[in-house]
Amino acid sequence: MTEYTASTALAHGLQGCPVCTSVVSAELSRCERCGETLHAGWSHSIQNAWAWLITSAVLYFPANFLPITYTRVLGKVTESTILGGVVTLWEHGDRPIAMVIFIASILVPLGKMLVLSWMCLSVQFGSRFALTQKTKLYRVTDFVGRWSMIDVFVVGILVALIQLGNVISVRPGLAAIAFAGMVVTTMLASHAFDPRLLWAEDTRNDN
Amino acid sequence: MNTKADNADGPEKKGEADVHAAKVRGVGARLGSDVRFSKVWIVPIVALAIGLWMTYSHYSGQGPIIEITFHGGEGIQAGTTKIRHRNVEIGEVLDLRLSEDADEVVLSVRIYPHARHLLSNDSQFWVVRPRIGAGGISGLSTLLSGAYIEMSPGSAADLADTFNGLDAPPVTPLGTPGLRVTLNSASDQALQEGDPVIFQGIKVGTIESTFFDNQKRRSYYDAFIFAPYDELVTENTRFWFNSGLSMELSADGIRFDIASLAAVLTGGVAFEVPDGFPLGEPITDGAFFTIYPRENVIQDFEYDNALTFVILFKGSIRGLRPGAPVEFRGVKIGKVLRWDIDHPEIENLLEPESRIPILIEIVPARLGYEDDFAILDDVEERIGELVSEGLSAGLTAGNMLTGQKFVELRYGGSGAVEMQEFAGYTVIPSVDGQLDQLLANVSNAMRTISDLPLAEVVGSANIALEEMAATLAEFRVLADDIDRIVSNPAADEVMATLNAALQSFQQLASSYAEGSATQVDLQQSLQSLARALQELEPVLRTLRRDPNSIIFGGSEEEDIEPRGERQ
Repeated sequence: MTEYTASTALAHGLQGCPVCTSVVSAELSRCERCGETLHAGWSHSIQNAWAWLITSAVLYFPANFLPITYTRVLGKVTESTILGGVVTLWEHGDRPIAMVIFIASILVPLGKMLVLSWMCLSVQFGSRFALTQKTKLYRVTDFVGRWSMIDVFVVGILVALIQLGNVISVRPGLAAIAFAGMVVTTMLASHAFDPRLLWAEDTRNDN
Repeated sequence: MNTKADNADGPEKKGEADVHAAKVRGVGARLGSDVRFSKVWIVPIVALAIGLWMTYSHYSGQGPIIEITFHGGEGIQAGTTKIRHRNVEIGEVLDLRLSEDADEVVLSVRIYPHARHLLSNDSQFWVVRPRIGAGGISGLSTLLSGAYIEMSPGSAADLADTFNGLDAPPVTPLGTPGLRVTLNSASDQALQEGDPVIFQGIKVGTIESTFFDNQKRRSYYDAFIFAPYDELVTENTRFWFNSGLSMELSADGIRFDIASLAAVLTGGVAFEVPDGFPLGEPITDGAFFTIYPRENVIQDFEYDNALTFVILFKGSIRGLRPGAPVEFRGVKIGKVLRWDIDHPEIENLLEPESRIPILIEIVPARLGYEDDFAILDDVEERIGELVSEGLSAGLTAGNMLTGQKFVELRYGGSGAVEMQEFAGYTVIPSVDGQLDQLLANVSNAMRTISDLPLAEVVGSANIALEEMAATLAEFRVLADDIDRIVSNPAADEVMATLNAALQSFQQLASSYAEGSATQVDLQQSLQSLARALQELEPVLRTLRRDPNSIIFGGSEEEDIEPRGERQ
């Protein structure tokens, strides 16, 4: 499928050590020079990526359905979820902000999980479809991950600023923790995923 | 999930011959490590376990959702309004919507699991909000906190999930020990929900609910008597409207009683067993009682069965009112219901022979019969027999001041009946009443007086008067003579002499008056004489006892000594 036929290290029965850059045999599990564990990403990469993905998927539900903040105004407590906040902002006419929060807090984590799942599946099924694009998508996913924490930051700032006891105060909900956990686990998942695996099937077919 | 294949296939395929050894050595070793599951799998498993546990505890920790229907949703907010029992939160309102016919408000309420068992069939719910009633002010705290829904747990065994909310707090909380009785009255006094039931001035119960029966035209009241006072209500108990004010006019004067202000304001109903009655058996829940209009009429029984009769009166019925008693020898046996002047059988009241029909009611139970519907015909028949033996009715003045009359039954009629029935009622013949007899007597007297030979009497009186006038004239002559004697000048001299004599007598008397010189002298002389006599007394005594002692001297007198009685 690939137009460009690469001469890969594996095709030559070799691999590079990521630490000392020495070229060693592909069969070795440890670098002969520096002792770095080789193929760690190869052996557990997909498994770990899946584990983190599933964790994040599990956390996705409490993050979105449980209240992220408890706002107490004059003794009356209001619970608000992320989606509820988006809807409220949208109804109040703050549509750009609603869009930003909706994209950053709901679409992006979901997209990340879907993209990573797709990549893991395509590795497992040995797909050779759009490898270059997939690699680019992986880079974007990896880069975007940290920005999803914006919601957690907002809650943190609100909780710190608005503390007037019974008059008005904001308390974080369980969803804030779940949401942070979800963002962290998607980041860990994208970190665990070794993009080199995307090219493994291609390499094999080249031979 | 089988990553082994992907990882291993690459190197394996590159050349079977030279890699075979490596496959056995290195890749084989790697294969072993690939088969092992990554430790990271612990993370999603733990996350999933926590998630599942939280979901489970959330849903298992949630109590049942019930529906409560109210007439209005004032002050109730979804998600905010709580359900409380004894000021402990036991649930909250999730949702508030109108019923399908928009007549009521349906609340979806989540009851916390710890209060699930309180949701009996007969649990009661009501909204607590500030209320001002005769009993005081309640629910003030909800002014700030907002309304909440109070629940009174039921006692029934069956659990329920739909309830009808009460509009007002129940007067008596469910499960309060006591007794429920049903009171009824047809008087123009009425009781309100929450009015007190009073026994000798103590509040022992409340009116729980009121109901008016259009068919029977009676009010019905459910009253609750708190334990232990419920024992006070027995078979012979009589209830009456307690006005709090009473005025009594008797031989002792006017007596005006006012109960406590609360009793005057709220009224209520009081009860007591009338004097002279046994208490009777204890009553059961839901017993029926009639409310008497006043305390002083509770001795009068109210019976259910009565017979109606008609009396046709010839004379005036002035002073007779509906409700006036029908008496026999002073015992009230019934009452007057009405008079039927506009009855079709009466053509013209002004006809000389027309009668005024009066409808009366006789209560067989007051005659000594049972208060039983079945015996009414027998009693009517018997009264018909008695009528032929002379039982008749007459009007009697009950109160000379007000001119009120009552119907009195007595024997003395002829027994002959002109009319057996009038408009379907048995007729009791009428005789002239006492007043009629009295009037007859008076007119008889008048007739006698008018029959007297008054003219003659007056004539003789005239003669007598003339003679008397002559006598008086003679007397006047006599009086003139006396006058003449008295006015004679000789009489004046006599008078002057008499005057002088009296004056000299007065002078004489004054010289002997107390303090005058003559009197003082006389008194002194008399005193000295008394002294002399006192001094002489022993001598005189000796002389009397022993006359010769004046010559021979007195013998010594022995003192008398008391001695004991001789044996």
